[in-house]
Order: sequence, then C-alpha cells, then structure tokens
Amino acid sequence: MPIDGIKIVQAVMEGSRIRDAKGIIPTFGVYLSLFFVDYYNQLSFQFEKIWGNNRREEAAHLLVQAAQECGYATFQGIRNSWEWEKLVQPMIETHEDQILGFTALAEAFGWGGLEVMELVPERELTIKVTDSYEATGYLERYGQAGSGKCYMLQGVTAAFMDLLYGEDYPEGCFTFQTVETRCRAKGDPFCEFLAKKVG
Amino acid sequence: MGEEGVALLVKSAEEASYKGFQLLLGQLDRIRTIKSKLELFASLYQNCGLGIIYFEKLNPKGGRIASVSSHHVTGWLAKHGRRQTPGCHFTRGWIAGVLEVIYDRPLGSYAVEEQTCKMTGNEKCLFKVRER
Repeated sequence: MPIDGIKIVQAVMEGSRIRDAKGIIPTFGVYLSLFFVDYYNQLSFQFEKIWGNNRREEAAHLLVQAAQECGYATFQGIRNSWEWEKLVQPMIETHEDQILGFTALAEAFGWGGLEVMELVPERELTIKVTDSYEATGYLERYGQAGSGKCYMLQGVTAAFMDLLYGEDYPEGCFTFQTVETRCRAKGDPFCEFLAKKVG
Repeated sequence: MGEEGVALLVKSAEEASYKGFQLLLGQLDRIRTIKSKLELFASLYQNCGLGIIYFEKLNPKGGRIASVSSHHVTGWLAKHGRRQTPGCHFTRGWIAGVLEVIYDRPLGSYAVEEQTCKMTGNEKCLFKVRER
C-alpha cells in the first residue's frame, strides 16, 4: 500500500484541534504549537547577522545542527506515537517508506510542499521543497541571498536519514549532513536538499 | 550569547506577534473593547497550543499577567529539567507585542519581566509589564 500523504495531513489537522486542559496540543507523540513564521525567520536570520560576516557560516552551521537535533528527537517521538502506529504504520511496506510518512507530516506542519526526489538506501536522500517559509521570509526581509537559507529544512532532511540509517536512537544523530543544492532565496525555482552520510 | 540571545528571543516574538496580531485585529472590527480584546488574545494563546494565560491586572501603563501552563515550560522541563533563572522569553515577547496592539502603542513600548517561572520550580509564571 502506498503512503497516503493526504490521509496523514488530515490526521494532523484533526489531531491539532485537540487542546488538553493545560492549553497544550498533544498529537503524534509531540506537543504542537501555532505561531507566525516571522518569529522563526527573525530569530534565525538575526542570529546569523549578530555573528557577523566572518562567522556567518559558523552561525548557519549551528542553526542547521539545532534543527537536525530537534528533527531527530521530534520524528523519533512521532514514529513511536499511537497515531503513527494506527495510521501510518499499516501503509509502510519498506523501511524507506518511513521517509514518505515523515515528509507528509512535515507538510502538515506547514513546512512547505515536500517531495522525495531520490532515496539511495543507507547513502543519500534528495528532497525538493516548494514554498519553504524560510526562503520566502528571507526574500521578503533581505532580498536575494548568496547562499541557501533554509536551515530548518537542511537539518530535518539529515535527521530523516539519521533516524532510518543511523545507530539506534539516540546515538544516530549527525550521521548524515545536508547541502542545500538549490534555494528560492538565491533565485532558484524551488529549494532542494541533498543529505549524505558523513565521512 | 547570554543576554544578547535572550533579547533576540524576546524581540523576535514581540515583533512577530505585533505585526501578526495587528493584521488580525484589523480584520475583526466588531471586537472593540479592551476587555474583549484581552479575552480574544487569552483564547488565542490557548488555541495555538501555547498554554494558559490570565491578564490579571492591566492598564495602558502596564500590569501583571500570569500563566499556569505553558508549551515552552512543558518542553523545557521535559528536555532539560529545572533551571535557575526564568526562561519564558517567548511569552515575554508575545505579551509585549499583544499589549502594543491592544493599547495601540508603537512596537517596543512595553518591557516585560518574568518575576517567577515554573521552569525554576514556582507554581506559575508571573510577568510584570511596564512602559519603557
């Protein structure tokens, strides 16, 4: 059975209507919250700016690492949730199908339109993203960039591979590393991420 | 980054909530009184999964706000456990931006200090607001 992305998106929409007595949204094993993407964009791009031109790459690397660690823990929680067990697991036929479940969930979280272009088991993953909020936010704030600006999606792409092919959780984080090969913020028609095994 | 990092977190939340909620409130022209605007934003905080917030005592010069439950507190305690200093930097910015919209003040008009925080073991997070 192929992974039904629309079904997964609908389940997240349904689940995110639930608020517990504490005003928290518990769904797919994690706590969701809704807020303007401007917050994350300002935080990332100002963080990069504060570090200055000489240390811009270092700042970008830290932002990607933070996203990778967060994505690694978040999607580990997701794939251990009862919602995943009930809804997504029955659609999974191969180990690699998990990636399609992850990308469908990422779409439901509002991270853009994610499409898996190529997956070489154990080695590399290429994801194409339309409408990344980071690229949109950078363009709106600063105009065209000289390098890729989708730090969150870079980290998350590597995290997906870490979860599938890294050591057992929590030892497998940073097994993979992503390069943003195309980014709308630098004038490309879409953003593209290539995660490869480190070393 | 220390204090500079904290300031960045607060400022980013303040600007995003100021700009976003200004647009939102501009479309809700039937919500006119301060009281109903405060109710709206308390409900929004809860509906967005950010937790529970009470605007306890407020006027255009400042006041006091309490939170008995918070997304950020829950997340912090689950991952890191108790901390020594208050940590609800996002909520400080969120409150400042919301009050600037409600009282029709420019961005940066309010300073929000977190006096007690659940992350440090207090029963609730208490925020004191004053004009800058």
